[in-house]
Amino acid sequence: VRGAQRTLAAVVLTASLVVGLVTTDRAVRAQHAANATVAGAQRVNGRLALLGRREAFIDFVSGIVPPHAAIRIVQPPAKHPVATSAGSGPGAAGVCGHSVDSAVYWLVVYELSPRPSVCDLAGAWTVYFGVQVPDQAGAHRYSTTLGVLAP
Amino acid sequence: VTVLAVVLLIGAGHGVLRIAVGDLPHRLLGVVPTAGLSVLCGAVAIAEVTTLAGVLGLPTRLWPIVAPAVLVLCVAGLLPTLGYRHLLPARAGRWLGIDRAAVGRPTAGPQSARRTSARTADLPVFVLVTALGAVLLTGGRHWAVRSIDEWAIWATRGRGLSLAGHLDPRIFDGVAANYQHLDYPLLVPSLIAWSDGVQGRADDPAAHVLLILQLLAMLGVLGWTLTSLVGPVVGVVGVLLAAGTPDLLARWGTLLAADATLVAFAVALLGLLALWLQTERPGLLPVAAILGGGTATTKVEGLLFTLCLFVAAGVAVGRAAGQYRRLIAAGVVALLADAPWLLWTARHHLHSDQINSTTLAPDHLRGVLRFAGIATAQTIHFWPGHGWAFTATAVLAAAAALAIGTGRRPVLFLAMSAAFCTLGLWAQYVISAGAGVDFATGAIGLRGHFASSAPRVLMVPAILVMLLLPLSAGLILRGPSRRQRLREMARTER
Repeated sequence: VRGAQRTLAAVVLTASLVVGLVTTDRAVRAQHAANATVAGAQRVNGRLALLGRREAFIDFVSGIVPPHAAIRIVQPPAKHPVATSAGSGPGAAGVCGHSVDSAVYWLVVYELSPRPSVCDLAGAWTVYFGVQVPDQAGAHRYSTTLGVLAP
Repeated sequence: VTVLAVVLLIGAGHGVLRIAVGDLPHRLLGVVPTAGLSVLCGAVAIAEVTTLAGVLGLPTRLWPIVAPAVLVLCVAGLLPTLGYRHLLPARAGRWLGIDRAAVGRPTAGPQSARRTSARTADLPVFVLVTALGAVLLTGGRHWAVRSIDEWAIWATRGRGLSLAGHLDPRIFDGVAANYQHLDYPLLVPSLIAWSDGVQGRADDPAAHVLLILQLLAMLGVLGWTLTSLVGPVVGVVGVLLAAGTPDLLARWGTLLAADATLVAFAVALLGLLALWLQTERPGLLPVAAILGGGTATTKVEGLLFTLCLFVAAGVAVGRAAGQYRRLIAAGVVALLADAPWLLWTARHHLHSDQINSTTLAPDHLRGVLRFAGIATAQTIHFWPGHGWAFTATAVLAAAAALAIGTGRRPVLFLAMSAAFCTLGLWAQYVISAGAGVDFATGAIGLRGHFASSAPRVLMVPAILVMLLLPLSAGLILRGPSRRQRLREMARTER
């Protein structure tokens, strides 16, 4: 009986070695493919151009807003905000991640780190991302829908 | 500069490891486990120092607190052996299972020969993990942050620690905007901040390297524990199965997020506890306590996994009272590692959106029981193993090993760990389901929750189940140990 048990165990161990080899090879290839995709992707100032043509706007904001100043991000309200949107928090729709395209909101928050995102206008630089930039004193316009307003 | 960040992290980990085992770790454990455990312990040390500094209102930037602490730990690891034994109080050593008298004792004779043989047996795992490391780290200079969890949670908090330089209440308290999962602990953000600090600027590829190293360290530690428990073939098979876990290396392993790091700490903790249960080797339990601390401070689920693994070890340890005491002490130390952060979040009213006083209320629990079936089906659907045939074979192999009685403790421990972790996660999903909504709406919400998180968080129990296969098969193949054979002979003679 012990001989049969050991033979079966050897077969199972060999089979799991094969499974391990195949799956690890697959994982390594997938990782290389992912690396190649990222390596070949378009970049702006070292960052992946995930915001498309608007990626350079991040550098424009970074050049104006001091590194530790608070930012109030204003975006067009999304028709179908996804679950990770900061929808239940403070702020009006379209402001500080409330009911917006949350992926874009968090990407902008990250790329402008460590400037904290806030909902309150007081003392914060307002970043207009995809909405009309007001024509008033203190406004730095990158385009008609991309700009920064000083506090 | 990335190399410097890594070397200092390993140096600090080596210092922590040396304090934990009460001896030069490579002498007690071998080179491969010392390297792997130093990486993991270094990460825990940096996370603990950064978290403590943050919650005490001190700077979280590199130089004021974190770097001096890391340098002190590096020096502690390099101190001469003589006199070092007196650093640890004898009473604490006894409780944690550290043989203080053995510290600095010259190794010679059969014990030394056994250790040399064990180190030779570690070679296949070393070669495999080094090869995997070389492959995984190739192309690392192109890595970039590219997913919403990185932007919304992990990398943003890391940059908060390194660039804001303190726990800015607008980022970590969410007082001015709704930041995500503010209750998540700071191990991964601390590593990102460490990397930034050494680089002198925010550097995504360098931070990626530190996180990938945690995975490689885990594979080394896992391979070493399986090699020590059964043999090098099982060590290699275990490393391959864990590395081949769907999406672990290719997806989660290349993100500045905590899922792969959680796998690294939980699986390494499992290996350490399994080896301690089988060998009762001095020094292993204190290291397990540190890895438990790492697991608990990586992610909220880590606290659950730490608890499950220590409880499973308690089940497997049987009736040995002294071992119980040491196990409980190590478990408490592991959970205490998360205490500063838990106290800080409680003080700032930052509660988990899944497990909190509302979702644990009896009325809510009664209301969500109707989702138990959906949670079970979704757990099965998203299980990230190597297929159900493999999982079924692993369970059968474990049952066979337990029935035969060979290596009962580690197999029982692994099986219990997998069961407890799976049950714990299942319960977390059920508890966090919507109670006050109609069934259809609640079911949609629960399915969405599973789809967004289950492939990541179920990796830990899935790996535990798949490791049952090589461990059980290897133990059956090896046959009963010498101690078991002697016990059997004595029983026959009686």
